[in-house]
Amino acid sequence: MRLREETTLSGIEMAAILISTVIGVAILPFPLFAVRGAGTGAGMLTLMAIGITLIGLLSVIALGLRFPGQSIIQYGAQIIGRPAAAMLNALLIVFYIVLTASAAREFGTVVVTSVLKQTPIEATVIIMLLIAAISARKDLRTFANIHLFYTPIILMPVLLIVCLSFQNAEPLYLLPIFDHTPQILSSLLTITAMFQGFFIITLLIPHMRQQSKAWVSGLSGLGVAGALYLLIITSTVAVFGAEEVKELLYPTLELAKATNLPANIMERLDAAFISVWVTAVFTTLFSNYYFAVHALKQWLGTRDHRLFVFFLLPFLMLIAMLPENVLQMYEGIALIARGGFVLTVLCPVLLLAIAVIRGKRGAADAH
Amino acid sequence: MLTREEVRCVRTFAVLAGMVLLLSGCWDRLEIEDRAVILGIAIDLAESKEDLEEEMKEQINHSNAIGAPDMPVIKISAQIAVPGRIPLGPGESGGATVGEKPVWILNAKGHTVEEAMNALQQELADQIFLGHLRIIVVSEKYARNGLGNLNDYMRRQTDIRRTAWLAVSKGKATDIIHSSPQLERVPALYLLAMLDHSVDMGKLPNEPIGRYWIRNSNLGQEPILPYLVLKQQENVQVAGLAVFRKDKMVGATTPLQIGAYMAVNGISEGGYSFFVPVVNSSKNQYVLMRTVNRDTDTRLVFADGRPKIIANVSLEGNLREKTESDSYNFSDSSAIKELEKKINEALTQEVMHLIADTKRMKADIFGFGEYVRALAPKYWKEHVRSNSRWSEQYHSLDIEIHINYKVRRVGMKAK
Repeated sequence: MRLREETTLSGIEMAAILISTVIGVAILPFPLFAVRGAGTGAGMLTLMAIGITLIGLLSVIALGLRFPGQSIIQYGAQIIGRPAAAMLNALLIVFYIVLTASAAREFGTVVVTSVLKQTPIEATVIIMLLIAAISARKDLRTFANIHLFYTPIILMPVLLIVCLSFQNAEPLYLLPIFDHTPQILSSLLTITAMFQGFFIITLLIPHMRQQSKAWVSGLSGLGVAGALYLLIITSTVAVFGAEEVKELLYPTLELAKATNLPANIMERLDAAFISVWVTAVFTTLFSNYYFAVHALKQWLGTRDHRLFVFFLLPFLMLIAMLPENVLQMYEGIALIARGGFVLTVLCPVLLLAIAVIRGKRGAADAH
Repeated sequence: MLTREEVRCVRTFAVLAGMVLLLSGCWDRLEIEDRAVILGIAIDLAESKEDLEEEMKEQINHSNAIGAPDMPVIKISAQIAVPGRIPLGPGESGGATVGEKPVWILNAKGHTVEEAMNALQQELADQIFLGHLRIIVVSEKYARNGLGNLNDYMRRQTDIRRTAWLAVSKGKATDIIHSSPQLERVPALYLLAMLDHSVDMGKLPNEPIGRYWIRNSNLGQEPILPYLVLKQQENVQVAGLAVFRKDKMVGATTPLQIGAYMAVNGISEGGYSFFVPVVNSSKNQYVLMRTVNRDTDTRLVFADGRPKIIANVSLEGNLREKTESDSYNFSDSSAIKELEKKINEALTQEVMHLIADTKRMKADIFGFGEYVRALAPKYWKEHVRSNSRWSEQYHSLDIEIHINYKVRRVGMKAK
C-alpha cells in the first residue's frame, strides 16, 4: 500500500459538507411535520429545532478541539471509560446504518409515488445505495470535493423556487407566529432530526487545516442550511396556509408544482425540483454512509475503511425494505428521530460536561 | 491471456453496459402516442333511469357481492386529444383537416370519480394521462351535492396541476365543455383561454383549483369558483361566482358582483363597468364608469368584545360614456368630485348588497375570518376554532366598507 498523504480540509469545504449533508430527503415532507406540531407557528418551531441543534453542534466542536486529532469514536473511551464508550460507539454505528437505510427508503418512496410509478422501489433504493457505496469507498479528498461541487447545485435552484413562490404568498397565513398543538414536542424532535447530519463534523475536525476554524465553518454551515429550511417553511405556509399544508404529504414538492417561471417559460417547477432533490439526497446518504464505515474503521482499529462498504450494503438494503407501507415508514422515521436526538445532541453535551468535570483533554501533539 | 489494457477495456465496457441497463428507467417508459391525454373533464349527475341501471349492470369497480357506496351515480365526459390533430399554430399545417375533430369525446359512469375514470380506462386502449388536464367543469347539481369526492381524487393524483381550472356550470357540464366555438378548434382550450383572459382583463379573480383547495382548507374563508352559463351561439358566459361552503355549493352571484367581490378583496386589474345616476335618474341621466385599479386595506377592530371588519377600498376608474351627449358636462374637476361622491354611494350599496347575500348563505368568501384567526388568535381560540362556527359568526359579523373612488380620465372627449 502506498503511503497516504495527509488530506486537510479548508473552512469552506467543511461548511459545504455540513450544508449538503443537512439538506436531505426530509425537505419534502418537513413542512407537514412542522405544521402538524405548531400550525402557523411552524417557522418558530423550525427555529427552535435549529437552536437545539446548535447546542449539539457547539458541544461536538468543543469536544473535537479538546481532543485534537480524535473523533467521538476515539475520545469517548477517555471520557467515560472503555465499556461505556464501546456501547456508545456501537449505538452510533447502528444508528447511522439505520439512518442511511431509512433515507434511502424515503427517497425510494417519494420517487415511486410521484415520478416513476412503475419502477419497483427496490430498484431505486439499490441504485441510490450503490452510488453512495461506490463514493464512500473513496478517500476524504473525494468526499470533500463531491460536497463542495454539489452544494451550490443544491442551494441555487431551491432558493430560486422559494423566491419565485413568494409571488403567490399571503402574509396573513403566517400569523399568529406563535401557535401550538398537542403534538408539538414530538414534532420538535422530528424537525431537530433533520439537522442531525451536522454530526459528521466530529469525524472531520481532526482533518481540518486550522482546527480553530471549526467554529466558523460549523456555525456558517448550520446557518446556511437552517436559513434554507426556514425559507422553505415560511414560503410553504405563506403560499398554502397552515390548514392546507396539513392536507399535503409533500408540501415542498407541491410548492414547486404551484410555482411557475414568469412568462410561461415553465408552468410547474416540480420536475426541476425533484432532480435537485435527488442530488441533495445523494449527498446526505453519502455522508451518512461515510460516517458509518469510518466509525467502524476507527472503532475496530483497521487501517482501511473500504472493506466495510460492501459488507454493510446488504444490511442497509434489508433495513430499507422493512417498512410495509408509507405510513409505517414515517412512524419508523419519527422513532429514529428520537434516537438521533439522544445520540447527536444529548450525548455530546453529556460527554462535554463529563470531560470538563473530570478534567480530561487530549494530548496536544496528537495531531 | 488478456493484457492489462484489454482487461481495463472489458471492464469499462461492462460498467457502461450496466449503466445503460440501470439508468435508462425502462419500467416507466411510455411513448407519447400511447397516452390518452385528457384536456378537459365534465362531471354531471346521471339522471335518466337507463343511465343508472346501465351503470349497475356494468360493475367495473363494484359487484353485487361487495356492494357500492350509496352515492348518486355520476357521468363524466372526457376530452381526449387525438395525437397529430391538435393544431400547433395558427395555420392549417400540422393541424386537423376539415371534418376531422382534434379531440375525441368519451363518456363513463360511476359512483365516484375514480370509478368513472376506471370505467373510462376500461374502454380505452391508451393509458389515461392527466398531466395536461386544464379544465374541469362540474354541473351545479353535482356541486350542490358536494365536491369532497372529486377533490380527494384530484389531490391524490400526482399529475394534476394546481393551476387547472375548476368551474361550475348552470346547466349540464357536458354541454359547456364540448361547446365548439369558432375561434378555437379544441373546445377545452377555448374554455381555458376564456377563463385566463377574463383574469387578465380583471373580470375574474385568479382562483384555479389549487386556490380553491387552499380556501377550502382555510378555517376563516370559503371557496368560490367561476360560474358558467351556455349561450345560444355555442358560447359560454362567465355568469358570476359559484359560492361554496365547505365543499358544497350554496349559491351564485351575478357577473357584476364579481366586480364587487374583487373590489372588497382589492384584486387589481379592474375590469367591470357600472352605471351611476348623475343628475336625475328619472331623466335617464347616467354615466358608465369603468374601474381599472383596485386596492383594499382591511382592518380588524374590536367593538364590545366582538370583531368588526373595516375595509377601505380604493378604486380608480375612467368615465366611459354618458347616456346623453350635452345635457350635463364634465369640464372641470369639481364636477368630477361631485361624480365621485355619487359613485361612492352607489358602489357602497352594491358591495353591501353582495355582503348581505353571502351572509345569508353563511359563506365568508372574502376571507374576513382569516383576519380574525391571524390577528386575534385569542378570540379565535375562545370563540371560533372551527370553520362551521365561523360561518355562524360571519352571519352576524359587523362589516364596514369605505369606498374611495377616484375618477382619473374621461377619454378623448373634452366635456
